[in-house]
Amino acid sequence: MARVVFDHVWKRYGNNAVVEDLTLEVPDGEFVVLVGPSGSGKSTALRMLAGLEEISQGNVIIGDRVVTGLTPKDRDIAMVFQSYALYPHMSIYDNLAYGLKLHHVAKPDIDRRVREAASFLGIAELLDRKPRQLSGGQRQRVALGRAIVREPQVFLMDEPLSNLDAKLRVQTRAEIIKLHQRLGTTTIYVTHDQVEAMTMGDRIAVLNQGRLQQFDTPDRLYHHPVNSFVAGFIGSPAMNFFQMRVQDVEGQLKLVGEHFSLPVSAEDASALAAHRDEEVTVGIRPEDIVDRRLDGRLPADAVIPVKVDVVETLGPEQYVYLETAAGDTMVARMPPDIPLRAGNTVDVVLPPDRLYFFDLTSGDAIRGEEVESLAEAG
Amino acid sequence: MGTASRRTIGSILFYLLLAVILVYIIFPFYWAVRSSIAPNSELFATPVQYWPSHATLANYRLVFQNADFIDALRNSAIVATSVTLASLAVGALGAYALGRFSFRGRRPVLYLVLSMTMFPQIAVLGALYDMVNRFGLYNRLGALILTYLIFTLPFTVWVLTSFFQALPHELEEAAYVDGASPLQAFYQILLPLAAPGMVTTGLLAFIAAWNEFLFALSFMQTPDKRTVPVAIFTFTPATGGGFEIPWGQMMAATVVVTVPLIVLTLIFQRRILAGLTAGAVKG
Repeated sequence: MARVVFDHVWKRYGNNAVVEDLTLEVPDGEFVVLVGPSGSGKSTALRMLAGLEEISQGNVIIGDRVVTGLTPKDRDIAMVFQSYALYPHMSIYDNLAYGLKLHHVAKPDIDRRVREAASFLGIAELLDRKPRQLSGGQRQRVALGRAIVREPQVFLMDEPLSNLDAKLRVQTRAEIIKLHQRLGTTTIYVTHDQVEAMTMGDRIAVLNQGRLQQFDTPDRLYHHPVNSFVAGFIGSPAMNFFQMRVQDVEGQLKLVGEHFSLPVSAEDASALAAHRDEEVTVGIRPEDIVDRRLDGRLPADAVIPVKVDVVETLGPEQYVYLETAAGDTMVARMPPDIPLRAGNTVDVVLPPDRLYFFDLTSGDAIRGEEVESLAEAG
Repeated sequence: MGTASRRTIGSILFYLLLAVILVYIIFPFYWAVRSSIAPNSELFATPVQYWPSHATLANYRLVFQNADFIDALRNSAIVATSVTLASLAVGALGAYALGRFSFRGRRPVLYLVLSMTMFPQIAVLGALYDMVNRFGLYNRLGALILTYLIFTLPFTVWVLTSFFQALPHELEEAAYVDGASPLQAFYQILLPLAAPGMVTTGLLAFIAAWNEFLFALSFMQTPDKRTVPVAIFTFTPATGGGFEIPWGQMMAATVVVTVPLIVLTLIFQRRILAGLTAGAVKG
C-alpha cells in the first residue's frame, strides 16, 4: 500500500496539452475518483500513472518511489480496464495467475492466491471456463480478480462499470467499495459518471479540459464548489444558472434582474460587495427551489413567479421544468404530492442562503472567507 | 407471386449455383483420380468412361517404386515446411510492427510489400537466378526456400497485419500491467490470438510452396533436388520407347501430392473459422 502523488504532471501532444500541470496527492489507503467529461484528461492521467502513457513533464510518485520513467511492470500496480481485457485464449484460472507467473511467484502460492481471490469474488466455479463463456458481470469480476491477486500497491480502475447494465452497475459499485474497505489498498478510479464518483470516492478530483478543478470530499464538492463547472457537473439534475446584476437598492445589496429581484443573505453580502454593479452568475440546486405553498416562513421578497413547462414524475419526487419571465429555464426537485400541471404559473422561493454566486467571466465561486481560507491552505 | 414460392425459386437457384461451382472445382480432381486408377488401355477410350471398368492400383505401385519421386516428396516437404515456418515467423514480427505501432512510413512499407506480389514470376526469374548463384545456393533447396518467400511473405504480412490491428489495445496493456515485457505480451497474448490468421496464411504459404513450378525448375539441376511438380513433369515412361507420356502415373502422383493438402485443410478448417477473439472484450 502506498500514497500516490502527481507532481506538476503535463501531457502534451504537440502543442496541445491534454493534462495541464496536474498536482494531486492521494494518501495511503484512500479511494480517489477522477471524474470529468470526455476529453477532461482523467483517463490520460490514470494511464500516465500506470506507465501506459509517457509523461511529458513532471513526476508521478508511488509510495516513496518516483516511477516516472519506469515501465508498468516495475510500478507495482494493477489495473482494471473498461473492456476488462481478459485474455480470451486463457482459462479464468490462467487469467488470474498470469501476472503472478510473470512475477515468478512460487506455484503453490499462485494456486492459493488465485483460489482465495476467486472465492472472495464468487467466481470459484468459473476457474476452468474461458472468458467468452462468461456473462458481462462475471467477466467484470474476473477483471477485478486479476487485479487483487497481484496484491499491488495501488489499484487503477478505468471506467470498470460502464459496460454493465444499470442494475448490475449499482450492485458492483457497492462490491468495489466493500472490496476497498476490506483490502484497504489505495485506489484511483476513473469515471465520467458523477453519481459513481459521489457514491464511491473518499475524495474526488474533478477535471475539465486537462485541468484539475477541485479535489475534495463528495460533501464539500456538492456544497462548496469552487467554480461554476464543478457546481454544474456534480449533482443531478444539474444546478440551475442564470445571470443577475448586483446593485444597491435603497442602501441594501440586491440581485436585480429584468423581471424580478432577489435579496442577498448577510453572509454573501460582503463577498458580493466587490462585484457591485456587475453581472454575476447565480446558481441554485434543484432541490433548493421551494414551492411557496409548502413553506410560508421563507422570505417573501425571494419569491418569483414561474411557468411550469414539463413535470416528470419519478415516484418519490418530481422534476419540474420551470421558465421564468426572463426566459431562463430551471429544474426544481419537489415532493410528489404538490399539484403541478404544465402551463400553470406558480410562485417559487429561491432562498437567499441557498444561492451560489460565480464570477461571470472566470466562473470562480464568489464566497465568504471560508472558501478563500481553504484555497490558501490547499 | 407469393413470398413462399419466391423463396423456393431463390433456394433452387442458390443450389444450382452451388452445384456449378462444385463441379467446376471438383471435376478436375475427380478426373485425376479416375485416370490414375484406369489401365492405360482405357485412358482414352470412347465413349468416355466415367469410372474405369477394370480399376487398378498399378500406377500407384509404379509411382512409389520411383526413387526420384520419393526424393521429390521429401524435398517438397522440406521446402514447403521451411517456407511456411519462415514466412510465419518473419511475417508475424513484421505484421506486429505494422499492425500495432504507428510510425512514419508505415503505409508506404505496407504498399511496397504488396507491390512485391504484382511482378510476374518470370520477370524476376533472371535476377533471382543471379542472386541464387551469388549466394552459392544453386541446386540447393535453400534457393527455393529463399525465393518462395517473395510470394508467401507479402500475403502473410498483409493478412496478419489486419489480424493484429483488430486486436484491442487494452489486451496488450493488461499484459504490460500484469508484468509482461513487450516480447512476452507479443508471444503469450497477441500471437495466440492471431492463430486463426497464422493457420490460414501458413496453409496458403504451404500450398503455394508445394505447387511452385517455375523456380523449382530453374534453380534445381539434379533429379535428387527436384520438387514434386517438377518430378511429375519429368516422369519418363517405361514403355513406348520413352515417347509415350505416362498419364496414368502422373495422375497417380498428382493424387498422392494433393492428399496432404486436403488433409491439412480439413484438420485446420475449424481453427481457421474459430473466432478466437470472441470474449476478449465486452460483447
